Amino acid sequence: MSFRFALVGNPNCGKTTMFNEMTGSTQYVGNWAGVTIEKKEGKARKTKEDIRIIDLPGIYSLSPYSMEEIIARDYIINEKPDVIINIVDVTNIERNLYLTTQVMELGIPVVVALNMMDALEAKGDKVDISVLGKSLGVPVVCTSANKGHGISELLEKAIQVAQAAKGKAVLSDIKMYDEEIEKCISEIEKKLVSALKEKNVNPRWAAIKLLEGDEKAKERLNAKESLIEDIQLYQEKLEKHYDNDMETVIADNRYRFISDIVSKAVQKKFKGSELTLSDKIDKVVTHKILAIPMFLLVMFAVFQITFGAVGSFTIDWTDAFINETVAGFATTWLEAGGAAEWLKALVVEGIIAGLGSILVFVPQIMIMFFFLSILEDSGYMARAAFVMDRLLRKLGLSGKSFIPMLMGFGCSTPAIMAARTLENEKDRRLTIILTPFMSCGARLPVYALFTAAFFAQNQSLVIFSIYLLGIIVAILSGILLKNTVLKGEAAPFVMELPPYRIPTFKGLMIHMWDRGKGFIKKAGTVIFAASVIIWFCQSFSFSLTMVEDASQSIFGVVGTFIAPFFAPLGFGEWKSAVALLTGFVAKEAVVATMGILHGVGEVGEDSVELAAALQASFTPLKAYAFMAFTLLYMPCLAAFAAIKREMNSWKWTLFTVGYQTAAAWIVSMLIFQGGRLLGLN
Amino acid sequence: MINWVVGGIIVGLTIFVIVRTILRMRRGESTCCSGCSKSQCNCEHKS
Repeated sequence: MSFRFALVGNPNCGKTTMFNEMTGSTQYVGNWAGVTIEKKEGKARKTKEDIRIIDLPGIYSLSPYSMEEIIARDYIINEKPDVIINIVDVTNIERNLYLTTQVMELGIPVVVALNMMDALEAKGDKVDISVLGKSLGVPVVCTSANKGHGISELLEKAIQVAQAAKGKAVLSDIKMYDEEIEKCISEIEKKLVSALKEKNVNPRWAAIKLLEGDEKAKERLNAKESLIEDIQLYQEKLEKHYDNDMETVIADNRYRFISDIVSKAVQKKFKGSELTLSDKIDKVVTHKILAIPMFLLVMFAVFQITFGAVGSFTIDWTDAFINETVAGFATTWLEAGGAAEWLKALVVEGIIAGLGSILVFVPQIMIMFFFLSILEDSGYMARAAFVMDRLLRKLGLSGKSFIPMLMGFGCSTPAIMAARTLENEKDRRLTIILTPFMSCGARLPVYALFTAAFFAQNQSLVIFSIYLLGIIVAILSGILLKNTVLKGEAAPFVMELPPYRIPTFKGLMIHMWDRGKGFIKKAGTVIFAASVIIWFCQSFSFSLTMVEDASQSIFGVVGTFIAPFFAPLGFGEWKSAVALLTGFVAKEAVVATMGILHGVGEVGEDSVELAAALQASFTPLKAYAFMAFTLLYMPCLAAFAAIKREMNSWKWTLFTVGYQTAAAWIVSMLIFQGGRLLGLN
Repeated sequence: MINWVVGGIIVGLTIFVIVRTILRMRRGESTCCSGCSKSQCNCEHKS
């Protein structure tokens, strides 16, 4: 038999971890709210039945206040999964059960998964699942998704429930509201059974929603005007009785019901206002004055480890492998096969040099993402977002922008898409414009190459300063745009701090591998194609004849034409201009182009040689201005497409890339010219 | 012979990658830049 099970729960309650455990997927999991912004589907493994698992975005309630809530509610109502697996973070049971009380009313079979049992047991608290199950009227299973505990039992229970229901609506006989309200609900329910045009919904759920005055539900149910007027009479009567609006009255009743259940089913070891360890840590890491310096210190330590002793040995090793072993083998093989000179040049000086100059940095990048994943999975990054939110709000920016911006340190494309969660149009546009200023992983090879060549003693400090420059430019741009083209009030942002968790080794490995795999995959596809085209454009002239002097090539001519644009920034020679141009395809292509144009890749030469070649045309000041320009100028093609898609306007898309390139030019010019005035070289 | 075979494979692969990238972008899918986080890149639709 085939079934569809939907995973529903609060943000950061472990739904995606559960999804990964059930399906064997490696979907991205983060220790903060809002990681999943759209539904995902997968097939459950280790079950005889054909079971599709649907992971929905985390929601606090089924009231349609945010896009995630609308996606989740629409899916449940329209698609009618066979069972809703409601994942409850047992360490925060009162708040999580609020959604459960709403889910129970939909008429779809529900199984509650009490997740994070290991964390609850570690606190010394206990839950009586038989009491909880009886009070809720649904089966309850204990799970610890991060350890894989209880997953098979949960699936078995869900299958049993689905088989018993056989696709029919399951009506809960649990009454959670006051007698007065229950009486009104049942009267409205009777009227709805005959009057509703929409037959596919549970009348009790519809009655409660209409009584609450839920506008989206009214639209969805398409109820007659006379029926709505009838219900309004009940609403007015109850509001008068309780001296409060109906939405609040219903919410109060639900919380009273929850509080009653929790008092019977949960035994807490510590009662009262004693601070937990998490609270104590938060007092320090979110401290008004210390928080930001502490965040900077932590990030600096990550860079220090990555670009210091630990990271640098990996470069030597991969460099020797690619530029000696691989290039040597390719040369020998091509010579033995009698390959023409142009083919040898294409393979060794084009493809191997282009790909090699990027691949040498993959281990270093993986090390950096390993440490960033520790910060993210432990819950520290969410604190950083909270601290930055405080700062951003003071500057008139929406704190909600910080989550996409934080994701921008990985890759701009998903970060731009994550800006969808911002309801306010102006805040959303602003976030899309600012997010590419956060230095994505693809720019790292550029920094690693230039800092190794010019700032070998202070590599981590210089890269750290480039990351900071991106944040500063984003903040200043935010203030500028918020007070000019995107004027308006910043929307309020409520953020939930996740509990501190010890990152799992498996989770860290998945994050690190995902990043590394992304680089390797991109090197094998986009960068491969880019390297072939770059080699062709630097070897052939416009008349398609092979040239000895690269300055006579297609790139030589184009580069010489655009180079004056970069002259005030300190790198007005054609090779740098062409490298920045190819960077539009993918930021890593800047390094690949440098590798190819400087003739790296011939056996015996390596990225150390590229560094030497760069020293001939750059100074440390010019190198820093070049890195700043790479950081800030228009994002890559994939990000550009994402901007166009999310902005849904050519005008705003061109404004975004135009603004970013202008900002890059001004900042790099100020760095170079300012540095010269200060006597720097 | 080797020039035609290896050269042909390289040119063919390059054209394939370019066409595939353009088609993916037209379909509104991400081309998965480095550091793709799958769930937010639409990449899961392809697997």
